[in-house]
Amino acid sequence: MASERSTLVPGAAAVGGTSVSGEVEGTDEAIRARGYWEQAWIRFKRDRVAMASGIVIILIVLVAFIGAPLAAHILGHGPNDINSNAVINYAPAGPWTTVKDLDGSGTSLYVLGASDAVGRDEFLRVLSGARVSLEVAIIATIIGVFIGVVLGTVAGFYGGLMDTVVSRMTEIVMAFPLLLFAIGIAATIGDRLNSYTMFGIFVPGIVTLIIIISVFSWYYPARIVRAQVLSLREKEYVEAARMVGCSNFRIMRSHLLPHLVGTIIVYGTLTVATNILFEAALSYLGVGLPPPNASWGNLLSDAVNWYTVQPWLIVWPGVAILITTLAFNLLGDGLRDAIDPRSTL
Amino acid sequence: MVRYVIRRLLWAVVLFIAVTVVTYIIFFMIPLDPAKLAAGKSATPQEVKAVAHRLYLDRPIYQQYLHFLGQLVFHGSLGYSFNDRQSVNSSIFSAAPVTASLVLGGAVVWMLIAVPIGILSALRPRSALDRASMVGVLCGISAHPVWIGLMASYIFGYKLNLLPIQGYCNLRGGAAGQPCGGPVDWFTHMLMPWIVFAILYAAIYVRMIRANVMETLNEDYVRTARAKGAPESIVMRRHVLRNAMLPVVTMLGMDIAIALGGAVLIEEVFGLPGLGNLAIQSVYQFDLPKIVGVTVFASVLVIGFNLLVDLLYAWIDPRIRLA
Amino acid sequence: MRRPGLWLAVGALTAGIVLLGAAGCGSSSGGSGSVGSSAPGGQSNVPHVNGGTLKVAAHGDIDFIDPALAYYQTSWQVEYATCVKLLNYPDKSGDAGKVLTPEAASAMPTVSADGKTYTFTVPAGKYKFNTGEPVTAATFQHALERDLSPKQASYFGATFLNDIQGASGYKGLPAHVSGIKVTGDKLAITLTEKDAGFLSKVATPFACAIPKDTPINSKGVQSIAGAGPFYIANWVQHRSLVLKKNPYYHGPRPRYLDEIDYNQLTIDQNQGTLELKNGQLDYCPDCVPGSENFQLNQEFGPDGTSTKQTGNQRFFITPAAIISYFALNTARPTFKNPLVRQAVNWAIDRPAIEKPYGYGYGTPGDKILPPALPGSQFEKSMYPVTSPTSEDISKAKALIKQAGVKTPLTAIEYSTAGTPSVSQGDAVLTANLAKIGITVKPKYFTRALQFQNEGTKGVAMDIANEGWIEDYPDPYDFMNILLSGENIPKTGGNNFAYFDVPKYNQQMDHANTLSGNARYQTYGNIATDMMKNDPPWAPWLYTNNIDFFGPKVGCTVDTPSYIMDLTTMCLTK
Repeated sequence: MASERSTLVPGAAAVGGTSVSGEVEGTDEAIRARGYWEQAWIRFKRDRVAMASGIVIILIVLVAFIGAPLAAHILGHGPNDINSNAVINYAPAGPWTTVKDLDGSGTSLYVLGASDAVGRDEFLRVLSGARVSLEVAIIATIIGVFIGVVLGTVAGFYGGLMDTVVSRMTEIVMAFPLLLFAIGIAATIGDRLNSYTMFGIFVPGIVTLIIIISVFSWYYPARIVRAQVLSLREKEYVEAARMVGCSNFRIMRSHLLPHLVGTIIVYGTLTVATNILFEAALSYLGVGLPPPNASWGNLLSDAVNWYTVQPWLIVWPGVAILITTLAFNLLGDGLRDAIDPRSTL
Repeated sequence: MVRYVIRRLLWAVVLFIAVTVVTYIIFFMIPLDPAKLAAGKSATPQEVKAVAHRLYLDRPIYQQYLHFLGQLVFHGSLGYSFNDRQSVNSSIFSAAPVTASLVLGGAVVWMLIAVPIGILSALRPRSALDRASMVGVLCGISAHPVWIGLMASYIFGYKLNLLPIQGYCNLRGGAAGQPCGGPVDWFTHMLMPWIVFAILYAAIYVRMIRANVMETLNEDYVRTARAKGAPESIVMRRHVLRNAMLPVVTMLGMDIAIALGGAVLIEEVFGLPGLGNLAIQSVYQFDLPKIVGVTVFASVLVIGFNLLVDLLYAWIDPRIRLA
Repeated sequence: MRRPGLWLAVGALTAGIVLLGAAGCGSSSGGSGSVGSSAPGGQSNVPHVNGGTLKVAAHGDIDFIDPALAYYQTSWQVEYATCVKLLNYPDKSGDAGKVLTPEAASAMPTVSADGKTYTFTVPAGKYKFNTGEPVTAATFQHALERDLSPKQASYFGATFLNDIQGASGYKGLPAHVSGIKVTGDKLAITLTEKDAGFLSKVATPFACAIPKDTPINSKGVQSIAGAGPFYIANWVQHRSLVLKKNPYYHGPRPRYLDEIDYNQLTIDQNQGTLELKNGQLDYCPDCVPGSENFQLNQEFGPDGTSTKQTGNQRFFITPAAIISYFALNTARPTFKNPLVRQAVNWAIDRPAIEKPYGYGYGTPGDKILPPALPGSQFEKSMYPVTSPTSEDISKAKALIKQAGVKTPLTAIEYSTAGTPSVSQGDAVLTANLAKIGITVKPKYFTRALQFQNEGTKGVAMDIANEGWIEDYPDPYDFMNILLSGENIPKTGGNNFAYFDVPKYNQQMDHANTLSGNARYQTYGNIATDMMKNDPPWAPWLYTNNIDFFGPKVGCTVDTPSYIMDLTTMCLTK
């Protein structure tokens, strides 16, 4: 879907509209020029794929917070409830299996089969895992990208000591042993951190994960942004802005940031995807979400062990992650096209 | 330029000290007694004390750190492992080539996948090809690399017998006890690990290259070149690609560090005795010399690559001044 | 001693490193009775070939090939094939494999009247190293002194041999340890006090014969000659190991193979099993992931589909003296009352907790002494080892009521992170105890941290999810070490139930002075009494060794001390 070419001068970021009163005699109607964000929103609305992705994401969030408890209620058992009847020959039952309840009161349907050797429901675990994975990935990404953009911009723009300090800090984090750090945090302040549930919005145990992932998420955007700012700051409009007397902060915010938005969005959406995988890797190494709660990450890494016996298990969290990351990426594309005034599409 | 490099190298020293100090601090923050671990669980308190003395663990932390620095600076030695008592240098130098084989070969493969797909997707944005390639590479991210590795081994190694299931063969001929060796064996054993490794990173690079190429295609100079009548191939080669690949160069530098992390899982599945393996084991065994040794090695790599990348970037793009 | 396989001592999750405690295995005091099941081991009559090379990979690693330092189970398995010792264990499975028999010594040692001096006669040249050097009494003197030499920094020397006269304060060669004397072909070892376990200690690989010129090297020698059926021809640390037939070995131990090649160490379990399936590998210790046990047994077990066709069984399950238990912390309010602990033993579903670990992982049980351990035959089982019935649950609830404690009780459980089977087992435990009013809150740590935290006095833990392997087959190793109140240090303890009952402490001390049947009977009775009235634990399982072989392997024997015996293995036609 093509989006309009903006008529705004590159580099400017006017917000809101200006009125032009009609010059034609007798007409008092004001023809309001559309503001920058308004135009962006219109472009976005026209992009059907992006809208669809946005809706999918909203749906996923709804499923995570409302759908999961609802499904548990309807099916009659919870995501962490064990049921040895769902374990057949020491292997989790396959998809669409009807399982006898433990207390003999009837049967339950395991839509996607059992998730492990104690007979927990894979479908419910995937649904409840959505919440964990989204919370961890999104919050860690927001924190990481925010820090990264701020530090990267500052480093690239000011150069000199700032740049050196920030660049060296990124190198320190890059060289640092992640696993040691993860175990260190878990062993020392992990307990206290994990008890923060933000009035029940957070699943216990995700605060540690968010911290660990954020610490290792910020240097990527920082470096990329810094590299871009280094080339952007030599552009003519920056010089022009300086001549006009803009403060440094204003230059960074109003002139550089809009050009970075495209990059930030692409990175942000990608980072959400990789952070979900990051969480899976942490689970595999034993420092992920504490059992028994499910996250897509730990469902993924547990499924690996069953690859010969119950190969379906890798499919469910994998598909969930695929749909989510696809949605984020398409949304990101759409946002970037809508916001970036230079975009030809 | 030379002054810049020297300054960077001086900073490298600072950085390296910072990383190792932080590693020491975190290690000793963890409430575990490495001497007890090394002495074995049947050891009496006196024996633990003797082991602590032998391993230098009964000195104050700053003294241990200075001892480590001294060994490194004056003897070039990273110390001796608490667990297998061998020199950390030799452990790292025998594991490094394996990881290097994986990461460098994997990088070649992921670039071979990512560059063409990224460019094609950028040239035909939102087309069927673009969408399909995006879904394809995202599938790569969504499945666990260990699972992909196991399935690849199962299908191509076990069922179809096309490639070895797993294992590593030295590039330079077989050692005693190794049933394989030499370039051909090395290659066939690394092929699946490379592809699985690349699948992980290709997605990120495809997206990045696509975004960059699309961005560059909008630049004024591209419009000018086209207006001048230059053939599309010249436009692509001389104007678009060169500029689009710049940020990719930046990424490559950083990804060395990440690659070491991602390599862990691939190394584990395919039985490659590399640094990833070493790094993980050393943490579980609370083997301080090995942990610090790997960290030092990683720092050197990170510093080196980032320096290279920054220099390359400045050289390619004359607008960038390395203040 | 920590247990191999799932329970990793110094948590090396992915590399699966296994630590085995030192000290002897095998009781020499002739324990009576057929305790526990004997291992089925071995294949049926498939014709075998002489010679050939066995292709091996190991899931665990080999830490050292230096007998003074080697500690891992894989290393000890290798040393069992390359070493000659004064006394050794026969290449047999089950009880027959536990009887110490003389090897380099011509007969069991004569013991002095005060019980402190053991004299061995070692005929020179009965065994020779692969270099041709003969094994003599002086060989073993050198081996033991090297273990005791402070510069060698051997665990064994420091911990287990220090009751030899002159050991403490020994400065190393060229001086000799005063308690070790060689006269001609006689080796006399004098202890500072009587030690019932001494012969077991001298049968560990730490006391292997080593060449006279083996230097002191605290980093461990990189090559060493062997006087056993095989010797180590080549070792590349963490990569490979080659064993070759010792041309000078003419002893009675069986040997068919020419060469055993460990092509790879720390192989991934799933991959190792694949290579065993298609014959690229012949043997891989500890290579079977629990999730595959059931299918492998269906196909390759004693009644497997493939076994029926070829007559060659490839999948084996053998009991081992390894216990899994939940220690119940008696020092904290939740489990202070013995009735509550009895209730736990009535309520837990032992087979269900086992399920996530895989088919044949172990035998559910409720005794402190595993069936393979002497003394176990005198302990009575009294709690349900199958899934508890509703009467059992009611009994448990009644006990809780009788205890007069306020429900729901909270129990914080310390468990191992990173292993799905463990956390799934915990889920079952949580569900079981929820039925009787105990809320379990599991906390996960990496193995080393878990172990350390549990052993720290005053820790805020109610249940410890633990395991224990025998160091040597004697009840002392399970009861006094794990359950005596005298064994509760400030940190690094092994008595995770913090069980300190003076009556039992005294009884266990007394039992340790007995020998023979009286000893086992007394220990058995104490264990029965404990579990009946004041249970410190809820034991739930005794682990099995699980082995899967390639298609061409035969003649396998699973020994009690060194798992699969490399020397008996052969290739089939």
